[in-house]
Amino acid sequence: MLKEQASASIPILQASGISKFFPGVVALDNVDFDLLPGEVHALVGENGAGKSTLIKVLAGLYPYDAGELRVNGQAVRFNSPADSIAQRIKVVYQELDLVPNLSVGENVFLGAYPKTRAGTVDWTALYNKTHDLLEELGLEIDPHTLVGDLRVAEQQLVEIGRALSRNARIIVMDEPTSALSPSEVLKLFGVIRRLKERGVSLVYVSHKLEEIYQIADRVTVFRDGKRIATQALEGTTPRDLVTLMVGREIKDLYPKTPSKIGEPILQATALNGAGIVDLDLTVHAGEVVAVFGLMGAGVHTLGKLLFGAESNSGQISVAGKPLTPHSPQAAIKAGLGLLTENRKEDGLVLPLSVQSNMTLAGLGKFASFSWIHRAAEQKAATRYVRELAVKTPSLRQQIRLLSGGNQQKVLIGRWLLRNLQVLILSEPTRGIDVGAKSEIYRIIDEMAHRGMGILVLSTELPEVLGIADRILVMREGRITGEFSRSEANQEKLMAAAAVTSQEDAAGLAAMVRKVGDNWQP
Amino acid sequence: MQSKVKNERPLAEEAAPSGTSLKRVGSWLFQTQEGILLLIVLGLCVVLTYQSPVFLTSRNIGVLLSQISMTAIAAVGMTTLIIVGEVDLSVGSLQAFIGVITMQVLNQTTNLPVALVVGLALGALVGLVNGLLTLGLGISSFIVTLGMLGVLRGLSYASTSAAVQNTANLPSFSTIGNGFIGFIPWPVAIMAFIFLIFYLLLNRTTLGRYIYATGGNRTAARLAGLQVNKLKLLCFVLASTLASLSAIILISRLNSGQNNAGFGFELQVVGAVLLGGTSLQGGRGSLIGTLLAVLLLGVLNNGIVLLNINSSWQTAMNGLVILFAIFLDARRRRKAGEA
Repeated sequence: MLKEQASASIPILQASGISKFFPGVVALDNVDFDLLPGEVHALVGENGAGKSTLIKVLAGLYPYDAGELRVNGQAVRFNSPADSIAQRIKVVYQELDLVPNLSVGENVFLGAYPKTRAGTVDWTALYNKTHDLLEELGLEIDPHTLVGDLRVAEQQLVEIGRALSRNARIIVMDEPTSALSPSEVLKLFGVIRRLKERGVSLVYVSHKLEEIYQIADRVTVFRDGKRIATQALEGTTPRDLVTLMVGREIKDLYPKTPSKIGEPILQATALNGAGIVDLDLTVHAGEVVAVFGLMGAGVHTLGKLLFGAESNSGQISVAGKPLTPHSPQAAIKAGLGLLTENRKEDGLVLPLSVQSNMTLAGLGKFASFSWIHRAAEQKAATRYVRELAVKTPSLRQQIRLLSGGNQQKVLIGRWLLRNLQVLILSEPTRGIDVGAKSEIYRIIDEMAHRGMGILVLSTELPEVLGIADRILVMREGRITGEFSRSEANQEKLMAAAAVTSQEDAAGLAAMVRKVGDNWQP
Repeated sequence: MQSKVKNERPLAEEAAPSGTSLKRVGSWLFQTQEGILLLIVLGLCVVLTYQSPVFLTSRNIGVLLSQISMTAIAAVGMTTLIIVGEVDLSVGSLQAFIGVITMQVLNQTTNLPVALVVGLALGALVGLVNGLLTLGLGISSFIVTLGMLGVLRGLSYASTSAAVQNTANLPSFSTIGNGFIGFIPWPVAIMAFIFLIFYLLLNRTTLGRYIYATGGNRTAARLAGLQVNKLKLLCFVLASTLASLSAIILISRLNSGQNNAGFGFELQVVGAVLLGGTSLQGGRGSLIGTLLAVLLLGVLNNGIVLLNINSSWQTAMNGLVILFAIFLDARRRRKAGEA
């Protein structure tokens, strides 16, 4: 164990035997965790494995039911967030708790404004101190800017600045990169390294293995509320990590098999609108085409344009027939389906059941004069629940109670039920566990084998390389590169996608490759 | 695509909670909003039967049901509208407005079908305007119909300075509010018919499913190919038309169209819908719950009259019931783990 090797230093944070129970659920089961001074310790695990619960225990939000916490060797008890803050622990959540209509400086010192002797706020000191803090982090942000005017990435860094203003010695980051572009991720990593130099310890929660390999020293794997392993990343392969997370070996994350590629089935020419410029695109029957781009490149918009959900000009044709007008109704009628990148916001109807969600787009098939033939509807829903291996106790289960992977399968079923020709999948595996991911990829592969045209829109490099027959790269609303499966690699795609400098592109590609190569057989 | 299917039991059968049918009825009674409402209604009925010799007479029951029929009919439309994610606060003023107009048309034409068609069509038109303003301008229907509430009340006052008396004296008109089919009062029969139609519409037709889906997630419904604006517009029209139908029953019962009718009617209707378990956020609700809630309010008010309690308590009681409804909804949501 690594603990012995690092024996010289006492853990800055030590949790032993922590348990947390919710009615009917053991969220944390006798968990041990330790954080050494100046280390970056990654927490990984599938959804519901207990990572978030542990974070909330550390933040003082959840009183734990058993176990002991020690900070710097001293036993402590967290009953409220104030107790955690008093121990100089700062949790940076995915949803940032900044006040958008206050300035950066005001946010950084919120609740602890420096005072003048007269008792009024010492604005000069406030802004000077903020300036120094930001400079220390290597950031060029004007302390007077309103936080609401900053990009998400910058807001996140302000949140870290706020932690430093309170002399935080432990910073916990929960999925900090979910809304960041790759170059912003690199910037965040730069800040994390500076924090390490200052002796701050970090807990880094992420499901992106490539990031963990880039930044973390040790990793702790959670599964089903238990700590499965804690080990140094050095000498641990991504495959080992995934096996630990999932609890079984995933032989092939990308079960891509060659399929017969036929006639063009989706064609778009001179597509313009919503930031997309003069875009041409062809998808053939049986082909998986992936469009890759960084955040903000317009990859996701492309799906909405093709589907007629955003107004646009240009010609779109499905199976040779031109699509008019460009509306979701016309697109669906022509045999197009769209899975958006925001499952909850644009896809699921949360109050409805699994069955109603699945049959929503194809309900007309089971009805005459609007009267639903319930047996036929149920039969079709049952069929696709089985074919796609959706894990649900019943068809009447509310969809919101399913896991992300199973929700996604229901939405795929919604389109399969219509016998469509082309399915557009925008970020098909966002927020989905590794195990379910490989199942979604298998479904994509099988759909292509059935002769459907598949268009995957993604900002995940490994995914694009793993599943596509052909890859298009987008930057600023234009196609900047096209690669066949055999000629594509990380560097080429990144170079075509990145607006940043050449070395940034190489760095980003290297980061991804570290993980990606380990998946090759 | 998974090659072998191991489990051949039909999935829907597994939906029912395991246990005997008795247990199932028990969990429905004590754990669903409809069940709890039914228990409360039955409990109240038992208490009132012991407290008042009049309560359990066929005459009183007939009066009670006739009285709630107007709220119930309007509440059926309101349930549909709230499920689709909108609300209509103008139904009370609409009741007065359609009442005075229909009465005037009847007096002038002495032709019942013409008066009915004018009344209902005018109501539908108001619903259309509510819908077009809400959807076209992208304003919340709460605000739009609050404005319509004022406009219609003003129009009712403007069209007549006092109540419009029934001078046509058509027996068929009087039958609508006061007649019987066999032993069933006409208003109750109309209510039952409307309820049945809408129950089937919401639960057994694609239109009903689309209404739930649009209320549950407008964007998702649109991307699944539904014409969400048309669906919403339809629900606005249905809600106003049914409120107008309630107005026609009301003027028949009062034998006059009164420009101050329906004050606070919207609160009663919306309150009953919410008490029945329909969610103001849309996408979730049940007509059975609405009907039970209307029944509960009716029995409460009937009890207040029978037990000679000061009738001012009626208003307060209605308010309390709405607060209770909100409490039940909050409890349900917390239980379900929704934010």
